[in-house]
Amino acid sequence: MNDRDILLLLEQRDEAAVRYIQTAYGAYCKRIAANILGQGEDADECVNDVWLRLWNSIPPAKPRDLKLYIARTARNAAVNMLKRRTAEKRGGGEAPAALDELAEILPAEASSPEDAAMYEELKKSVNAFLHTLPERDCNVFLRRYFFADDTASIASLFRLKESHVRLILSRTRKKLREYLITEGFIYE
Amino acid sequence: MNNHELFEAIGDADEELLARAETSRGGIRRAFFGKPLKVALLAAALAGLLSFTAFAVYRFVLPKTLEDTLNLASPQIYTVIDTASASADTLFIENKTVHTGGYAVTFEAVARGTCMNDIYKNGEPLRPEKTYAVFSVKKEDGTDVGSSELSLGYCVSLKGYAPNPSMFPAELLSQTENGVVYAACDVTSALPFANRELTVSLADRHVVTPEILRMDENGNAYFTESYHGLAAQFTLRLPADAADNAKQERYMIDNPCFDPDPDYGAFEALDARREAIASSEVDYSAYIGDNEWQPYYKMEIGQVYCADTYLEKRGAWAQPDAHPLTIEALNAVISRKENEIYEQTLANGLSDEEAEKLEAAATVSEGDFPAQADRFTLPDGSVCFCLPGNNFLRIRPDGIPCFIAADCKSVIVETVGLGSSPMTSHTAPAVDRGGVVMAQLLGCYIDNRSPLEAQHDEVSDESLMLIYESSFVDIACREDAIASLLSRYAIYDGTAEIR
Repeated sequence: MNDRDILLLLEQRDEAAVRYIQTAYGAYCKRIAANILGQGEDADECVNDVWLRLWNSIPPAKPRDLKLYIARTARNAAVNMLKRRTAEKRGGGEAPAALDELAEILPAEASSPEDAAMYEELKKSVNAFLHTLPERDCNVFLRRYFFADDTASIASLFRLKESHVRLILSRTRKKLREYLITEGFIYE
Repeated sequence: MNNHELFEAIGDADEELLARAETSRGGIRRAFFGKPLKVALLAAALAGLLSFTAFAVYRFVLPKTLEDTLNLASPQIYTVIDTASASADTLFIENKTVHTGGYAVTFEAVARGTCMNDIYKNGEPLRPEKTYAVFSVKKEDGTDVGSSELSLGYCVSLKGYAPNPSMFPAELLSQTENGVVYAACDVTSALPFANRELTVSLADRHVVTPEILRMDENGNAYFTESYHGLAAQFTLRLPADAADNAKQERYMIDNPCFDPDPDYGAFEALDARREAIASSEVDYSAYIGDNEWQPYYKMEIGQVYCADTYLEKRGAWAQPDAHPLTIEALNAVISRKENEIYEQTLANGLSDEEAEKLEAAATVSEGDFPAQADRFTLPDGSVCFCLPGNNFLRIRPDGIPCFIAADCKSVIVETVGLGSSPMTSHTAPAVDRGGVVMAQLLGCYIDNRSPLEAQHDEVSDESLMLIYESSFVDIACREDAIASLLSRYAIYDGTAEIR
């Protein structure tokens, strides 16, 4: 059963597709959720939420790359859950640390793009910024801030020292800050 | 704007960036190099360069230029050259391409050694002592292959034997770099067959089943018409000095995955197999069974698995269709042959009275046997008793207690196969020692995991072979231990007779 077969089953509304996805990507999905939420019930709940989201979104969605689609869905579900949990003041996972690191980019009294249009512009700018990065730095950045991997895992993945990973992340955050200033999203 | 919004905005990064971050492991070239110390790398590269130059001169007898011959402009060839340079163990550079379904599949090389030891799968490095066939897959239209666009699987097949994904224990690792899929296929277990005609078939399926790969009348593997995916076949060259006829014989006798196809010399192959068995010093008859009906059983404490018959299930070995059976259900499965077997027993010269006596001897009454023991009958009429701790006693129809297996994780009796891996098919031989035949399985690891999982977690095929061989030589000194074991259960009093 490959990804195309699974997508076909989803389009045919065959529930077996969910079982195949769980088998093939359960651990992968759980890892992303746990990276953001920490190990525990929240991650399990998030993973269950992902299966439901996939079932509801495909079709009409026709992902070109199922694995990445699942990764994005899992991340979104986990971030949403994180928001709820933050409101309830609960900790855990790599996301709080990642968020703290990103907070370095922003000034204490940042202006806020309240409207959706501004947020859309922000997404485009971040994307454009990522395209300006060297391949390795971009990969490291996304492993940290998309997949919420810890620095030790990233170091192992890219055969780098952990201190080197932290240095790459620090430089990239600095570049991102400068980029967002240039783009007018934040002010010095 | 707050950090949450920024974090969320990163979540909308372009798919190609995410795919690259998802699959990147520091670059294919670095992956194939291991963890090079600069000096060692330089030395290795220099040595590799010299050997490669010698190889190229020898192989191509001064062609136009090396670049022209090996198309050095293409990145995947660089990888192979890197591989060759990094290790003296690189065996062959193939550089053969098949165009299939919009993809260009290139058989790059056969390689092993330290150049492979930095490729990881599930956190585990590939073993440098293993031999891999390395392929690259590119889109012919020049676009990138998506990281999960293909689900590659492969099958190494031997001419004349129905292709079976389990014929040689196998593992495929693939990783995508810059839109090119690189696949390393473990072909180590095919090494003893290096002097035979071997084919490696690559398909867009995790498991290359007999439904998509068959054997034609000439004994060659071919893709079926019903399969419409990536389909590439190459002749697999392996170093001739790796050929080992004795191992070949052993593998083919013991391994149900070497399935002589009925349409291609089936009976000759089967006869050859029987002849090899007959000429062997080992008494295989204890577990060969009759010619046409060869069931496969797997037994564990309290459970028996039956994969149905070898001949009936021909072509369906990729299906892990073994299912747990109770002892009663197993008896029901085999009962259809029992009458026939009984008649055969009579034909072998035993009178009714003798046969009944045997049956009575093989039947222990309550009290003679521990309560937790169970019993079942094998197709040849043998009665097997399950003892605690994975120990089995088998009483042959002629009354000889002939099989004891002890101290192992799980036990196989008769030829065993779940149909998914030849590694599940090794069985302890029965060797006659003065009326008591004993065998011990040493660390055989059959269990409920999938064959591939088991393959990774447990012994390599090479060590399994050693285990198998050691089970031959260790048997002679085990009589005392077995007698002691039996006496614990009041079954065996030290003589050859059963109480």
